[in-house]
Amino acid sequence: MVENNSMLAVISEIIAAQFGCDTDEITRETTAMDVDGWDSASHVILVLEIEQHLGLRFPDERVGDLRDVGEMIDIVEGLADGEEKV
Amino acid sequence: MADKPVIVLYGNCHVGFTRNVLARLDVITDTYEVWWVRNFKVNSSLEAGFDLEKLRRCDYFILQVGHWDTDSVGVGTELLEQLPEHCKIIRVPPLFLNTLWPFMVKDPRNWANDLNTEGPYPSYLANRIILKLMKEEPDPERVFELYMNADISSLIDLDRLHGINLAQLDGIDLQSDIPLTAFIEDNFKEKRLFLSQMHPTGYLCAEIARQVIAQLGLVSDDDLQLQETLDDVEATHGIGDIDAPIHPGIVEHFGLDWARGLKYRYFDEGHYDHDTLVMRYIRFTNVAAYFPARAMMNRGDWCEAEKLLRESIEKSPESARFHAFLGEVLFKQDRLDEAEETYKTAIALDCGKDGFHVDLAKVQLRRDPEAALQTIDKATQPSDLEACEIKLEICSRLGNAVAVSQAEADVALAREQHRWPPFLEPTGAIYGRYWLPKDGSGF
Repeated sequence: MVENNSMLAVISEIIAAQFGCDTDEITRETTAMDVDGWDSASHVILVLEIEQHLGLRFPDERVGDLRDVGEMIDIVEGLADGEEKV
Repeated sequence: MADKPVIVLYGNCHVGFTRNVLARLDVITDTYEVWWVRNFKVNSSLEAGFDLEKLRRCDYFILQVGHWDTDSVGVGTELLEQLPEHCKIIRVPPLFLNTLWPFMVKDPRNWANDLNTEGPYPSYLANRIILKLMKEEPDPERVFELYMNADISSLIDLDRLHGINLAQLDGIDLQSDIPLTAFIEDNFKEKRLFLSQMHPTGYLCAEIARQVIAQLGLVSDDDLQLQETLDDVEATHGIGDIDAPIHPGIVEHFGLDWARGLKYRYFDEGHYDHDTLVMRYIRFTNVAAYFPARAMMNRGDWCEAEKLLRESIEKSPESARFHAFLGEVLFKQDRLDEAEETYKTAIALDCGKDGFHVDLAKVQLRRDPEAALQTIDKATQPSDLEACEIKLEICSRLGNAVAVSQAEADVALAREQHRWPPFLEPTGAIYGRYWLPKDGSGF
């Protein structure tokens, strides 16, 4: 699994590709409200993109909560470790 | 007389639609004032002048939850604190479905300005697979061919995407008093529920209105006016002025019989089949002159509007609405022959638009009331107050006392039964004309 900082870079790339923003704008604190076009509808595609890219599956009950990039990274790391960090 | 108590609806377009359903029901409007506050592209905070007096008279607050969008402003606790204690809050969900449009993306070619705030190809029409192909292949025809032949299942796990979508909707249902996920899941293969990711069809708008009304508990299920209104809503095309095309591979994957051979609306330019609309997107085809033309019309600059509309028609000659706008511009300049011919062209291109018949009848009334009568008879529906009023004027001009008497009765009936105009014409309409209440209330 990639390191936490590298994970930020990976997820930033995916977000930037989907919403046309700059990867430099994405930090752990970035939320949907900070990114033009990241709304509850486009979020669904973003989640799938991350899943397909990293070969993992978010728990269904967490899908709607992943609005903060840092939280996404924590869950991805948790999935990699076999348990979800909250 | 004391002010009526208020039903406030706060949310997106579909909540506004529900507002208009409520505003059509005598059993509601006899007792309540109905007020829609949209939550997109406006600031509805107390500081922005949210009508506090209305809030304090609020008996029911219908609140959309669960949608986060930079364009939407959430209702703050400071607003909810102003509601009277007895006020019942009914939470409704946002409506969206991405399953059928998995490739949405922000297209770098898109532009927006004051006249066209979303640009010709906003993200729900843009397609990242096509954009990727365009980087590799300069020939638009070849890009189209590659896209059409793409194995969608190898590009995206459609079933997982649908699963994520439903999981998110399930989560929103938990915050809402009106669960819609099961309805969407049960029906999306059999019925067209969405025109694009965020814009529901009339069928789904009717369902949410039905459920809101059930929660209110103010109208009996067998109320005839309710049934008639919900039937009207179901028959409408739905919300928005663009329909997003569904790739044939996705149609096949989910077995969407309703999606075969669909025509998709693209602003006022026309309705196109899937392949044509996709090809237009690849070529970034759009009629740039149209939006300035509308602005010139609003400004009353008929000469400039005419020039821009003719330019628009040259680029998109099949657009019935472009011709209808040109007819209006010509009429304003008293060029009656040209206006009449132009409206006839609009009707020939899209005879389903009642509004075109009404406009043509107005032109004909100036010099040939008999012809106007024939035209208006093709338009008049009991619900169309404007058509009824024009018919009354025509009959008066013709001096037929019996017809005048009947027309007067029709106008009275239209006023009595339908204080609000139709929701949307079956093929879609200008965003505001039929959808918003004529008195502009609710804003």
